[in-house]
Amino acid sequence: MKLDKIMIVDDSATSRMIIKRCFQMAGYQESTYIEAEDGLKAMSNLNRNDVDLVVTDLNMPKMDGTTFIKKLRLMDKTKQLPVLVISSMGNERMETELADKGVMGILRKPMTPEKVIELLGE
Amino acid sequence: MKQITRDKAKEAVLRAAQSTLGEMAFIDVIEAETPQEFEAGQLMFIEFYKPIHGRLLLSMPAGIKQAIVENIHATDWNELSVSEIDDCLLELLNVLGGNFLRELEEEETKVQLSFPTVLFSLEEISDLDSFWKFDFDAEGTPFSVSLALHEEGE
Repeated sequence: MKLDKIMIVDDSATSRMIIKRCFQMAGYQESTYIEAEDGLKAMSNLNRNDVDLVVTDLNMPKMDGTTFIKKLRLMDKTKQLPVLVISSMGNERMETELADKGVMGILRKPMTPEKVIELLGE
Repeated sequence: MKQITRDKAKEAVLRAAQSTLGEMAFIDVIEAETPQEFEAGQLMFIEFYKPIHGRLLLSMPAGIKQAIVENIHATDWNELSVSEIDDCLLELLNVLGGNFLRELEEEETKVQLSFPTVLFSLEEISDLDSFWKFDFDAEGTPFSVSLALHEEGE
């Protein structure tokens, strides 16, 4: 999967760093990474930037990941945008609910490069 | 609330600690053969609401705190800010909490956690006597996870 620009949305700077590093180790070292610390800032950023993939946490202040994904699906520009959820709160029921919102997968924390490869390929 | 025994909780905490510290910080964790006293250089707390209600307290000495943060950041401790260090440890606790609940409930139900916090003193925790304390060994360094499980509505 070719990904020139990847947006990482997570309130933890450490988590954003780990996610970015895992993607780079999974083969996406040439990609440009845009970071946002909550759904609100991500929405604002998406108005100014085009990205190829959004990677988002669920448990965030101001605007949580589920609300953020719902809002993405309401905008023409982002309603088809691939979204990947990374969370410590994943479960099968949540995966089904998020799949209904067009989420391509859930990666459970802790993140590893192997999990990225498994989902997106090398 | 389903009856959760101390042994079941301990096993879930151990597996969660092993996967969290192993995958995030490359540190091996085993159950401590005998609990060792240590000076807590870091106290962190998280509450969880689903699938069960409870509280989890992570207590660790300064040495392992530094090793964890340096391993996760792949950077020398002295090059990190206080906020970077706190954020790193809180993210570790967040993942540990989520992994514990999944280990306990075998991934069947929805998990809901509070935002993790750093504590300055154990006095910030009420009913500390009601916590189960589990002692672990991280490559020779002791640390503990204390856990209180509550009845629904408590």
